[in-house]
Amino acid sequence: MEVLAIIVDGILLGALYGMAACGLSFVFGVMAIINLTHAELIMLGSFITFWLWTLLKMNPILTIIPSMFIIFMFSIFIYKITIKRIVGESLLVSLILTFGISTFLWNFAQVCFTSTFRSVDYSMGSISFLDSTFPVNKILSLVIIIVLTLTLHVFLKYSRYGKALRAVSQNAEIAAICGINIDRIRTLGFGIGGALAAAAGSLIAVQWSIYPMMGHDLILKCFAIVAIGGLSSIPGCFVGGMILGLAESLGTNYWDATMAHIIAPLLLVLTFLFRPQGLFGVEERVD
Amino acid sequence: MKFTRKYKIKQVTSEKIGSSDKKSWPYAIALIPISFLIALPYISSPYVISVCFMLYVYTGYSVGWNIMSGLTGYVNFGYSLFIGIAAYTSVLLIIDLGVWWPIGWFLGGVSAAIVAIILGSFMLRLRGSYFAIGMLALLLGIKLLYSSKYLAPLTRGGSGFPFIEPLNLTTMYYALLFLTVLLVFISHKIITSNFGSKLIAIREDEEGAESIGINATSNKITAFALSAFFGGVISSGHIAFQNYIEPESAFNILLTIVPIVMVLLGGPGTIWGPVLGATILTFVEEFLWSYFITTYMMIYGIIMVLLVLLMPGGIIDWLKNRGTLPKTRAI
Repeated sequence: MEVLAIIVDGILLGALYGMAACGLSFVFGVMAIINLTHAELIMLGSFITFWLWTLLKMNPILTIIPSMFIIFMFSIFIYKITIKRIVGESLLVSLILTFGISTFLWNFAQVCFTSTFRSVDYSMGSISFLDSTFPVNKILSLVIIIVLTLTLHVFLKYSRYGKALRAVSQNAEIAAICGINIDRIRTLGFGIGGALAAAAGSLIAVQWSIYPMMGHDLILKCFAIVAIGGLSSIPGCFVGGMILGLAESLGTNYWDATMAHIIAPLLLVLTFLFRPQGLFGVEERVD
Repeated sequence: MKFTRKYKIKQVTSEKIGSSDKKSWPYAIALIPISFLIALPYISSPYVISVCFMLYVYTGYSVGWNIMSGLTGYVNFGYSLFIGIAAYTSVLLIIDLGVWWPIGWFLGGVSAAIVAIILGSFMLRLRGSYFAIGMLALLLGIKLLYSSKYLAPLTRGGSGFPFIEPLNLTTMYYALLFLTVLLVFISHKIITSNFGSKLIAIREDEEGAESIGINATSNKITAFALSAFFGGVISSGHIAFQNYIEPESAFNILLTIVPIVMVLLGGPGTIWGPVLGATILTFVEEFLWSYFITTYMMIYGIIMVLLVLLMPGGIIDWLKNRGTLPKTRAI
């Protein structure tokens, strides 16, 4: 049942992609900023996992926690010095600003870490079903992603800060009138977006090789996913991620590994042309 | 009462929208450095000539990017697309088919313009940020296409190939100098013309512009094609200098980032802004290259951030607001 194995592979891949894109969608929802530094935050999360595993021999799965925390603080730092000042402005301003920050970050990583490919060689064996073997790493990643997503969902739905975040993403002015400190909430939102990116980065470090420029490939896939799923919708992210993961898995197996990389930009352009709001998104509000 | 012939009612000549003051002093001043540049190959080393060559290349790219993105406000993050397509076309024409090199370069630019027209017909329907990201996606996709096996018979796949065009450094230098001066002149004509004011109207308020009868789509596509043509012709020269072509370097994202930073620095939407930005950054880069060889891209990132936060209009706009420069569109 080779097709089923490919589909399972696609789902595992798709969950990872969905996790990666989740933070981007979240940040856009909270403050209407297209955050091009997202991929660099993923890259930094990966490298934190790598260095913690190499230098401190920490279990790579456990490194998710310090990685998320460090990048959370780092994102807040970036927000306070730069992004805070342009929150109200047009999307293009945020694009160019975050593009500049991301250029700085990947070159900084290249200077610090050199551009050799690195990987975390941590294998926990594999299990087989459906006539094929799957590494436990990937299945554990899926479990972790599900746990993180459920935590995020519960946080957003039931906690005070979660409700405040949802309020700010729906209508910032009314939220301010209701007494929510929108600056603090936006800071928190950007930090959470970064933490989600770091979690995805840590999971990626265990599965693929990492290098400072990995952000370029990833940002395109994240955009494709967010475009397909709808710009500020988290479930849309995962649906988009699954679609892309399945398409890439099928494409790699039945077509060509190189051409499979064309799928993401192709889907992106097609989505923009035919359904710009994505599957779950709302038509853009005219505020 | 005598209304005599003393009082002739002067016919008010209808001025074209946006025609500039017809002062010619900026051009007289420009002649001085230009004559210096013309004499350069005779008075200095090949290294200086190469630096100036790259200065012309990046000035050309910046001017080309500015024509589209500075005037219409549609930020094009995929400019390297046209650079790469034109580079491949010109190299294939000159090396594989033996075309004379000026024709090859011209046709390289034309090929980029044709691709721009095709892509623009559907990409330009997208709003600002969707257009920017979409162009970035197209850039990466087409780069993959050029390194894939489908185009390999033409492009020799992902590893590219070396070549030598029948040109020496001095000829290339003069060709690029001529092209850059020509492009700056053409951009002056465009920006101060009716067409330029239509593009600026599209930037400021596209729906408003359409409501007064400006056909946004055809004007945008024209600007896009011109931008691609400029970039394409310069890119043919650039690749001739490099003597090696491969998808990764021909479609390199840096060839988009660097002109964008140069235009943002100098002043988007102005004539001399891209030239100024390119000049400043080329000399900064030459300086940084000798001391901070690995960190100059980081500095580009920081410059972009600082420009967006502090000087969104660039240097020219800052000078105009201070009153140092007259507030005409001719600068």
